[in-house]
Amino acid sequence: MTPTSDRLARALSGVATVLSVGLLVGLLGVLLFRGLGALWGPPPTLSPAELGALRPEEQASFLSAFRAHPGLGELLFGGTWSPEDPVQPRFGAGGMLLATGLTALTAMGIAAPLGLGAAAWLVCAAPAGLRSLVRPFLELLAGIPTVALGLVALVLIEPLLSAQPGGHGGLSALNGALMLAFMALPTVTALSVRALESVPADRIRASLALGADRWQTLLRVSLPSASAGVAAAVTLGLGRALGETMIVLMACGNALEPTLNLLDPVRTLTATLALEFDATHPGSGHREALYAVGLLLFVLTFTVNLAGELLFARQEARS
Amino acid sequence: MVERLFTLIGRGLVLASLLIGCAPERAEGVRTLRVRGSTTEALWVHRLAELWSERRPEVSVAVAGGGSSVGVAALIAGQVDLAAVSREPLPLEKVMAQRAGVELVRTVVGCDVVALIVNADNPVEALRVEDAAGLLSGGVVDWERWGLHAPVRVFGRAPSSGTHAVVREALLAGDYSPSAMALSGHSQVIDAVRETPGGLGYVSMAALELSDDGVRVLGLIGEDGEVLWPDDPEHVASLRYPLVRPLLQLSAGEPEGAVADFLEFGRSPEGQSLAASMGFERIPEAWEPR
Repeated sequence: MTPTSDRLARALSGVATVLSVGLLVGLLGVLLFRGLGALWGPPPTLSPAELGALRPEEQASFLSAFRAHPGLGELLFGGTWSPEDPVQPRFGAGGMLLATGLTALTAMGIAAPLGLGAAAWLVCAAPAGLRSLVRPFLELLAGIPTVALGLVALVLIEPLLSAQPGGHGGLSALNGALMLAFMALPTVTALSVRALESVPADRIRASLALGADRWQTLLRVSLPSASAGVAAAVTLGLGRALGETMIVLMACGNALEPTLNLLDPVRTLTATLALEFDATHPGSGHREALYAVGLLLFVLTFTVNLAGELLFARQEARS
Repeated sequence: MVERLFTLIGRGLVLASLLIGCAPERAEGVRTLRVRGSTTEALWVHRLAELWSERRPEVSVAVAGGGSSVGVAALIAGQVDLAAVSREPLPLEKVMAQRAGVELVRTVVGCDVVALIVNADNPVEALRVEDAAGLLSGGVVDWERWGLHAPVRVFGRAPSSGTHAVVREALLAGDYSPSAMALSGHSQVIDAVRETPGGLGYVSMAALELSDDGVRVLGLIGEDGEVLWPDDPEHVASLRYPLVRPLLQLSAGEPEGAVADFLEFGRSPEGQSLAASMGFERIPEAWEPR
């Protein structure tokens, strides 16, 4: 490589780094500014001239709706979401928060044992030839567009679930959770494989030399020393599931009623943003409330992903 | 290794910027008419745009759905030339338009009828308005009174949908049941009601034109006890059936040029007969064009 092209490459990649980091920081700033502003800033207002554009019978009911403002308590724990109700707008996102948690946690309840099991098999038991086939295949699965999984939810899972007695039709939290599990499975498996592989080989050899079989070695030696990495795999998978939009939008039926029944339709935080944001007007109470919902979603996924990264770092340090 | 990766990224960036620089310039005189909004109206406007483009090949028409509210928000933000809206403009929209300095001008381009539909195995024929309201708002939770042993499942649309707004305005005192589902279009509502014994949905009659297997249209019982039907031409033309709504196009200020020409084509006999062939109604005489 000549010095000139070297310098050029350095300059360009430097620009690329500054651009991408700058964009992300900018996005974060806008989200924080808007979200915090929606919660604690001055409420949206209406000038006398704007009010004059309305018919008298529209004015009274409309003013209360426009001046309304989501409070943090209502946002987190309120069960009623009707942000454009002309008389008494309500900004309770508690039901959506519950739905986001319900679908994502159920998905991880399915994906964690499957992913860990597959990882254990791949690391400890799989014949080398088969392993070299299965690993890239799992990684390819991670690239399936989530809208394709949404279509699977509509075409395959929906009819199966709606045939169950006691169900309310196939668009439900369970349907979304199944597809989220499928989406997160490659991530969970790949990261668990990494964690199990990071266990020092001499520890495993020592265990085998002491007469333990492979299964005992996996349970008593590999898993305990890889525990932080496996926890990281599940946590990062959870982070993906919490933030996923298309699957839950297509599979869950989007009903607002708060529920813990997996067979009921639910509407997640992400689905609400996707369904409502582009129909709102700048400065209206509804849009402000959606910024607050976006902030809530960000804090949730950021915390979970941060926890995952910290667990991962601990695993790397341990090995 | 890292060095090589960076070089690769750098080369990619150079290539990308070259490609962007080479994007073809738009030919002089060709412009795009952007229409966004009601998914109901989009069924017709898509076809209308094809016919119109044959007469005005220098203008291309881009039609997008998303729901009536999405169309109005985009018009106020200056992102589209026309908002297709299947309900009257809301007070909030008037205020927002005024704030942005946009005058919303409405043009009636069609007439649509919304029907309540149930599963074909549901014995109910017609509902009183207050019973329909009870079922849709969650006050009535099963169909026992009408001889069906099944819970009520309401299949609705997102709040951005004009159909959602029209049914709420005409039938409900408050909001829909919180357990009502928000589906993305008429055909999804029809599919869901077909598969669910206790299903109840609201859709455009034009969508039922495409597929109405396994679902049945309900009549609404008026105050004098007469059953009003969405498919009875007289009940619709006289506006006695409560769910008859205008299909509007909103423009920012008086429509002119290509925008005015397109609206005129929509209202012309050719545009209206296309609408009729797709299951929309003739514009009632009681409605002013503006």
